[in-house]
Parts: sequence; structure tokens; C-alpha cells
Amino acid sequence: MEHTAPLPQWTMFAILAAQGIIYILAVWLIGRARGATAESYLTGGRDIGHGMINASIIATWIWAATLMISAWTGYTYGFIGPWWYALGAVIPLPIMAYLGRQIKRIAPNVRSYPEFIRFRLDRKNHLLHSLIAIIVSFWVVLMIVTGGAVMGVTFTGAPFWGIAITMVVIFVSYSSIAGLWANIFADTIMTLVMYVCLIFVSVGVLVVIGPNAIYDGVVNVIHTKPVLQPALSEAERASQYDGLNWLNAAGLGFLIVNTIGNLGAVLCNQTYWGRVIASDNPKTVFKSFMAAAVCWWPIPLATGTALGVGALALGLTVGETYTVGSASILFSEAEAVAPTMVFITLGYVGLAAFVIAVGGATVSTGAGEILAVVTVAVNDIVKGHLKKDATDHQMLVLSRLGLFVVAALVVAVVIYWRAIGFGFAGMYQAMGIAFSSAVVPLIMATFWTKTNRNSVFWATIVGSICGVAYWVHTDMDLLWGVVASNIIVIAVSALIAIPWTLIRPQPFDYEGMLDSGFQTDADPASVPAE
Amino acid sequence: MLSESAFIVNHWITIVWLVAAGLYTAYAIIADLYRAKVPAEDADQD
Repeated sequence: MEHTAPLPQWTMFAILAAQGIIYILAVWLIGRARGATAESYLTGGRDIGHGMINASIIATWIWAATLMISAWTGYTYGFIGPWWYALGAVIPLPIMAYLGRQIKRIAPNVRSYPEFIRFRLDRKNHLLHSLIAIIVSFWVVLMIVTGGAVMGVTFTGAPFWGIAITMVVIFVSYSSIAGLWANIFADTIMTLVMYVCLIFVSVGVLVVIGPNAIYDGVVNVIHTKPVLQPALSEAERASQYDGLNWLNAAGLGFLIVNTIGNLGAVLCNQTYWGRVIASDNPKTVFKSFMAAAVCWWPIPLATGTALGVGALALGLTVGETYTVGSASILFSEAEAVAPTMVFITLGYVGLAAFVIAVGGATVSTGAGEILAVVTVAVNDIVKGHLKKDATDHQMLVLSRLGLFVVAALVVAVVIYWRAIGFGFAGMYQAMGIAFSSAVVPLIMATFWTKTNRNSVFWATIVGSICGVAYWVHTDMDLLWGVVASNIIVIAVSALIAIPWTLIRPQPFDYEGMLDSGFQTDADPASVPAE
Repeated sequence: MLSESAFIVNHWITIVWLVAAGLYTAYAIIADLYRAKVPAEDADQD
């Protein structure tokens, strides 16, 4: 019988439980006072410095997919794959640096980015961005829990539902104690752990195989052209046989997809805005997002190079079973190249380090996304629309309850979708296409004093409809169809919003926003102007 | 096609960059802790 899960089941639960216990204890001992009011619970106290914010942004933007797919790009596109993957994914972070600094300057009291939209634009734009923010974060957490649980099953054979529930319980546990501060604190610890694990894996592969042998292996693949991924088309296979080319065509396509597709997922995601709001000043926001871009980049780059290009050099073949000592691992699908490669080269210790990194990536991002859903739901939907006179205490209770409700919903949806065999293929791209239309309006609202409120509202909606319609027209093509759809979304929204604003400008004074924010009994602020 | 020496330099860049990023991140966190501690001590002395 083949042992396709090299680690025993208990290791997955042990790794997750260890993280959960450490975070709960540390947050309870150091930061439970941060959960005393809704203001500090939802904003992290607005006094966190560069070190923690930088680390938190890195942890939030490392998904399990970052480690798995970067390795896949190295395996499929050669040495340039991880460079393009990392470059494409990192571009939203410098943009966030400029946006975040500006919003922190002109509206320092808001708790969410939709709240900024409420005071800068109007109620309809606020509702639209609130719904977008909730859908984006909820969708991301569904993908993260599903992806993390599937990988846990691959690594250990533990039951899917058990891993999913354990992960979500951990998300909620420490977040419910101290809210955003707890998230950022846990992210900080996890970032350091992930660096240690990934440096160990990357250096380990370099030492065990050596860069000369990896180069020779890639040259051998170029000359002998073995069928490593039977599912690839001829055109895609040509990319794998072009692994030493800077201008690998399919790899360049992946760069464009990653760049445009990630804009909406980051810029319209309250998780990243939470780091802006929790920062102690605008300078910290700018410095942290810029530093995070530089510090995040080498993570997929080094992981993808060591594990992806390394696997290409060794000629690992999808569908084959590889034996190390008395254990075997089935290379079931190309996306699982990272754990397969790390187990073959570094054995159980390497695989354990990789699983810890993947588990940490999953927990840190998942907890942040769940809290982001709750923040927007409580602050923007309840306080902003349904119950404007909600007290700070009521919002705090709702926020804590909301965490459990969203967590239960996430678990239910994830397990149900798994049971019916729902596929996630293309869903992240669909989200990117649907919500990238909000990027230009958000940038206009932040920097352009004359932005027309109706123009950005309709630009967001019409741009999204056009992009999704075109993507459906291309039969949901995952490469150039996604590229064209994303370009259409952004171009249509810009072509509506910019000329409309030029023709019918609505001047606005940003200085009037300094005291803006939903009024609460704990933190009095101005009442929104209609 | 990338030469062998360029490939090796590329591989080392990825490793050195990763290590440097990890060290900077750790340094920035320690600097945060230090800054948080110093005002508290100053306040005590006052």
C-alpha cells in the first residue's frame, strides 16, 4: 500500500494547536486590555509601530498558495517563474503604501476603508464598498481554509473537516480576545517563524543538491524534453523546456495576471486597511508597506527557486511515487511540487518545516480576513446603516459575536463545498476581475479632490459587469482571458470615472475630513455630512 | 539562455535576499520593542 501522506495525522493538529495555544496565551498575557472597547478592538489602538506592522503585512500576504504556486511557477516556467510570480504579487503593496499614507493623513479616525468612502463620497458608494470588502475578505477566507485543509490532508492524511474546524477555531480564539492588535501580534510571531522555516528549506536544498547540479538538471530537461506534467498542453510544455530563458512567454503572462488580478484583492481588502488604521502615524504606514514589499518578495522567490526549479532539475514527474528511506510520497499534482520536493531532499525535518510555514501562513491570513469581515459588517453595515446610535459596548459585543457567526458560516460553506465537490479553479481570478473595477474609483477618491461621486459609483459597477461578461465570453480562460478581462475592468471603470469627473467635477476639501468618523460614546467624532 | 554562472548568482541572490529580509524584519520588531520600552522608563524617571 502506498503511503501518500508522509506525516502522521496528529502532526497537523499538533502544529495548529501549538500555534493556537501560543497565540492565545501571549495575547491574553500581553494584550487583553486592547479588547476593552470597540475602538481599540477594531483599530488595534492606532499606536503600533513599523516593526509589527511590517511583519503583519508580510504574514497577511503570504498565503499557503504563495509557497505552493511560486514553486509551481519555478517547476513550470523555470528560473524566471518565481521572479515573475513575486513581482506580480508584490506590486499592490507599494500602491497601498501611497493610498494608506494619504488616508491616514486626511481621515485618521476612520476604522475601515469603506468608512473613509462614506465621508469622502456618499452613502451609496459606502454601501457598495462595504459589500465589496465583505465579499472579498469572506471569499479569501473560504479559499484559505479550503486550501490549508487540502494541504493538511495531503501532508498528513488527517480528515478535511477536522483540519478546517481546527483552523477556524484558532482564528477566532485569539482574535476574540484583543481583535486587530491580537491579529497583528500573532502575525509578527508567525512571520519570524516562517522566515526561519523557509530559510532552512531554501538553504537546505541549496546545500543538498547544489546550484551547479540544479543548472545541469535544467539543461538536461531542455535537451531531453521529458514529459513531466502530462496534463500540460504542447504550448505550455514548451515553457517547461525553456527553463533558462528570461523571456519565457507563458511566465510573462502569469506576471500580468498576477499584477492586475491582485490589485482588487489587496486594495479592496479591509485586512490590509486594518494595518493602515492600526499604525501609529502615516510615515509608519508608508515605510511598512514599502519594506513589506521588499521583504515579502524573496519569500516566494527563494521558495520557488529552491523547490520549483530544483524539482524541474531533478525531473520530478507528476503521478510518480518517490521513496525516501522507508517512506513514500505520491507526486499527485503539479501544484504539490513544493512538499514533494522538500520531502525528497530534506526528509521529515524539511517537510515539517514546510508544513509549519504553510500552517502559519494559513492561520495568520485567515484570522485577519475573518476579523476584516466582522469589522466592516459591524462598523459599516450596522453602525453605518442599520443602527447609527449603537454604543461602543454594543459594537464590541457584536464584533465578538460576529467572529463566531462568520467562523461558523465559513466552516459550514467549506465543508459543504468539499462534500459536493465544488471546484475553486478560477474563483480567485473571478474575484480579481469582479472587484478590480473599484481600484480606479478608490484611487480617485483618495487623491483627486474633484472626483464626481456618481462617476465612481457607476464606474465600479459597469466596469465589473463588462469584465466578468468578457471573461465568461472567453469560457473563463485562466491565462490570456483573465489578462484581457482585468484590463477591460480597469479600463472601463477609468473611462467612465475620469471623463465624467472632468466634465462634472465635484470639488471637495480633504481638510474637512480630519475629524471624520462614525460617532460613538467612547470616541466622539463628527457626524457625517450628507 | 542563462549561463551557468548567472544561474548560480541568481540562486544565491534569492537566498541572500531571503536571509536579509528575515534579519531586517527581526531587527524592526526589536526596534519597536525598544522604542516601546524607552518612553516607559523615561516616564518612570519623571
